Amino acid sequence: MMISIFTALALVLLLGWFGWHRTAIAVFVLNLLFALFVFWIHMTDILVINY
Amino acid sequence: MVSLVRNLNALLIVIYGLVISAAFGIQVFAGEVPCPLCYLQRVGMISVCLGVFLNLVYGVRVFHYGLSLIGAVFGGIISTRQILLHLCPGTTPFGEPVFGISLYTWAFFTFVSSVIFISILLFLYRHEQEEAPKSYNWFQKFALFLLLFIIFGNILSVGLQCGLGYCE
Repeated sequence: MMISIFTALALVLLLGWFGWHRTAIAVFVLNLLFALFVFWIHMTDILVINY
Repeated sequence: MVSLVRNLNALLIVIYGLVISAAFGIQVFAGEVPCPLCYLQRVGMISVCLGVFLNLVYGVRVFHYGLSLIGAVFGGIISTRQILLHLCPGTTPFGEPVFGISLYTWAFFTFVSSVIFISILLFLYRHEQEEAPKSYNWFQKFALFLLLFIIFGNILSVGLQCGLGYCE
């Protein structure tokens, strides 16, 4: 889950570098929203891992 | 003025690049593995860098500064959460303090500082800065390389630590 956030950041970098300006911005915003969601999951412990 | 502003944008990337590189050093040499909140703070830092990265590539836009500010606010929220988790007397701080202050508190300082720095860059904003650059000087190239390094370094770190799943 966390790796997808960093992969999306790499995608923003690559999209921005190769001229996909608006797509890079869209991925940036969506990624930040997803990161906020991951933070909420962590904060609420809503995903309980059973060993 | 245009080159000064572009170099200041690159400076923000370099500062965060060095901060995250230092975090890599602590992770590798001191053995302090980052927690999920630590990774999310790194996401905030890289998000700040990506906003000003778009300034370097496409020319300065107020919108790009807005993206960086959102990244800084996000990082500030995460670091505040981690500070509050360890605030009560008797609770042990996470990780070894650096110069007496925990890393997540230092992270909070960097996010506040970046908001102030971006505010100064907005004061310096002029319309002629919107022109896309034709080339990059050595400092801007170094900033871009450092950004590449910290992003892919974190992908490697998260991949080795957490795999594809949830970071515990």
